[in-house]
Amino acid sequence: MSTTELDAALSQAYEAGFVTDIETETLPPGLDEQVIEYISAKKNEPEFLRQWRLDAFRRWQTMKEPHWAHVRYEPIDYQGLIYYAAPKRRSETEIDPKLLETYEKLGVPVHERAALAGVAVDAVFDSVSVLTTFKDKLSEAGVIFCPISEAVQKYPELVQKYLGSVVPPGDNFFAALNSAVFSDGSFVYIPKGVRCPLELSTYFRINTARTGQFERTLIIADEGSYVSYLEGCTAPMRDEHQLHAAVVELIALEGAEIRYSTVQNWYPGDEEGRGGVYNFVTKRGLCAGRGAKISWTQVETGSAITWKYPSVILKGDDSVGEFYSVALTRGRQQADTGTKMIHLGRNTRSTIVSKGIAAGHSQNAYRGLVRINPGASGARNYTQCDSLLIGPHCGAHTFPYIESRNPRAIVEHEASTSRVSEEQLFYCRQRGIDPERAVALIVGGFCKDVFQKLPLEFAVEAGKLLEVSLEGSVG
Amino acid sequence: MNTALAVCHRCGWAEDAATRAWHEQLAERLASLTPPSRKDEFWRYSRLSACFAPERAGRGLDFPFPSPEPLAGEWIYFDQGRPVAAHTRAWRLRPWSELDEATRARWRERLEPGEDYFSVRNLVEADAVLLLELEETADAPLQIHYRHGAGWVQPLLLVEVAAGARGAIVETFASFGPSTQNGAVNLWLGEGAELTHGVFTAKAQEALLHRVRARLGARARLDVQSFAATRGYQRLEWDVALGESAALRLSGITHGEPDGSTDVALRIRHAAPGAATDVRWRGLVPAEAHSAVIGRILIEPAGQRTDAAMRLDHLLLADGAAADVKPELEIYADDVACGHGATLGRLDDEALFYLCSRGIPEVEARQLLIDAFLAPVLQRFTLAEVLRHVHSRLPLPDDAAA
Repeated sequence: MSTTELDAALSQAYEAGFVTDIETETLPPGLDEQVIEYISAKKNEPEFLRQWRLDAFRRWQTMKEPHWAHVRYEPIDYQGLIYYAAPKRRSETEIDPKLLETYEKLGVPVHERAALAGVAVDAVFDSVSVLTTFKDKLSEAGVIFCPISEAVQKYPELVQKYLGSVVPPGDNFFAALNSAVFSDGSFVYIPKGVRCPLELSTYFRINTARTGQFERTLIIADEGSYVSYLEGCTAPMRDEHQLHAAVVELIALEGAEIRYSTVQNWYPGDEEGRGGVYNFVTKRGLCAGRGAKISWTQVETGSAITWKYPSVILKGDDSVGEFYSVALTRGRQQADTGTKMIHLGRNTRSTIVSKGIAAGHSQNAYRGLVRINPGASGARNYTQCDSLLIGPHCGAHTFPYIESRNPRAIVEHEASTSRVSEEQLFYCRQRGIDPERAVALIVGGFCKDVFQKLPLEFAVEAGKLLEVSLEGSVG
Repeated sequence: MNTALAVCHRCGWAEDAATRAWHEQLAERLASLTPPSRKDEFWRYSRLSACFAPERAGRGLDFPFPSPEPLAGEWIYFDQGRPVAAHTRAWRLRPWSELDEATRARWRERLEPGEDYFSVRNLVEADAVLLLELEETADAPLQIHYRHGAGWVQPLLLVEVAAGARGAIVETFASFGPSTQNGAVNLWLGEGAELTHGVFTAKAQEALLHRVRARLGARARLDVQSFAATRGYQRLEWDVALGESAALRLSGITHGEPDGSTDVALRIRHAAPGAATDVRWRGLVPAEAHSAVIGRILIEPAGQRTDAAMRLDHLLLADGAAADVKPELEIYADDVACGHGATLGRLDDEALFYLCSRGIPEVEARQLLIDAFLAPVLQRFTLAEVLRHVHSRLPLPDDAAA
């Protein structure tokens, strides 16, 4: 397979790159305390939240943007970004049909009658949540699933108790920025002993030019409950870079389980690296109680730059953390992604399976931390991170940090890097499988461990996404 | 026998104009640098404060070292960073003052230290600069014995192994008082040259920083065999660049001791096709000891057909033990087979039970398991001089095995 053929094959069209022509209410670009006051007032927030935002903003102003990740990008002009953009509503209840069209075009089931009706959806468009489905059915089970701006109004005690409890406002530069300006996102509360009757899903869409998206997701699984949450995201094709700096906080109390799955398909930019989303996200879960479990599964195919480490703090004894990831980069994409597993409680267990695929001129890095604290007797971690290289111009990197302070813990880590093997290709071709299909088959096999962890609908979508991205990668 | 070093009055840098200018530039650079901190990736697990303890600063030696014991075979003694006695037939030893300008110019270029504080400081403040050259094959290894006892001690060794030559050097370290040895060895292996390099640090109980910088020509081979133990702080670094079809085998053991901290940093660069790296490091960490290994294998775009493997394993033997590892791969070429593995754990309870249930006392059973853990690395130790030192340290002291 020649480099030219490979490059041509990898420059597939980005199907979600259209723009929705919709009337939007936006703030002018720039960030100061007035912008924060405006967002807070717009959402009619209680005083504690207004103050929380302002504190975060003041903190952010004292912080420096970090640059330790294995990614290179032009400096971000934070004063050139729009921090609030929302589609205008015709009335309180009516949703602009263009919005519905947009989500239908993206294949997101925003009608309750839709084929994938087993999934409740919260659709976030630029800075606001535009609709949430199946709220009634969920509320029958006592499940709260709503935009976080609505939760602030209806359940302020829950929000005040948990917001920032896992990712404090001063945690890092981008978390501080998010805390100051977050405009919407999803809020989920699963009461004690309840198994959420539907898969919950949020679909994020950036539409307006020069807009940053700063959503905040907060999921609380009370004792003995279970929830599976899915997240998807896309953006239009533009020559400019757009910033997405989200914060996701998960709290699993005793015996609760949260499965959080992401299929990330933000616009990756063109072949020359023009445009694309900077995806700088802080995701962290806290296994607060005994026997709690948090599982992150992610399929990352989009974004010009991905920089995120969905993590689990294993505080409760016998709690479990999992991270399954497929990260595909092509063109000029760069990814520095992985996880952190912080073992605090006894007999805590974590598993990390990461698959990186690099093609074109992209750079794909796994970065992970496994830390065993002195109290984590009997803790166990198993990490496997494999990288596959397609073409001679890309890079695949592994940066694991393994730290143990307890002699009764066991940590195992293994990693491998190789290219699609000639032998495997030959084997497939010998059996009449065309080269393109053979690569898809080999890559599919390479990612199988992760896809198996995705909910069915997402597994199908993720598989297709990967096939599209790699289509024709062998000439 | 080479006796040129029996009395060495003029060590350090000879002050020819070109060297002086270069040296002044380095001194300026040093003035602008600060010691690394934990924010620097390659120093994030280092316990560097021991190196800068006040009692080490500017103190001179106020006691005599014991007389150098004549060793079997070929040897050099360095006291306080200066060569004081030597016996060798195979190696040619020359201080900087005896080098011709062409050789000096070549080495000045090779010694470019970048922005690394300790490398620059070693070059600026070197107590002695000694070039060791091997033109043919040497049967016996050259034993280099360092003794330090006060202040900052900074020897600098330049080693050149000619194309096709084969030899071995074994470095051992002993400390006699509060001191920091900040030493460096630069290995230059010509095409097809082979060098076995032993590094044994168990008697260096003060602060020790030892950097090995190796450049391997085409088809050259470097076999490192290292045994590291200390009750103080030590940092061992290897910075290796491999030429076409060159091979590096690096085997090491950290044998932790209470209150000791051993910190190993490996930077391995494949800059040409067909090179192979095989790293295996194992650490034993008793109570109140710390062991860290940071290893980076970098495959540059030209490093096609690379085969690289790194295996870092640690056994934590008691409460208060701490271990950190960071095995990295940075790969910019696609035709590669690279892998790394790391484990941190304890003695296997089931294996211990199995042995005890067959009547083996627990202490013995633990030692058997520890021996088994170290065996894959020990099997790669071929230098009798290294093995002799290693066996003098094994089995573990009682406090570590308990």
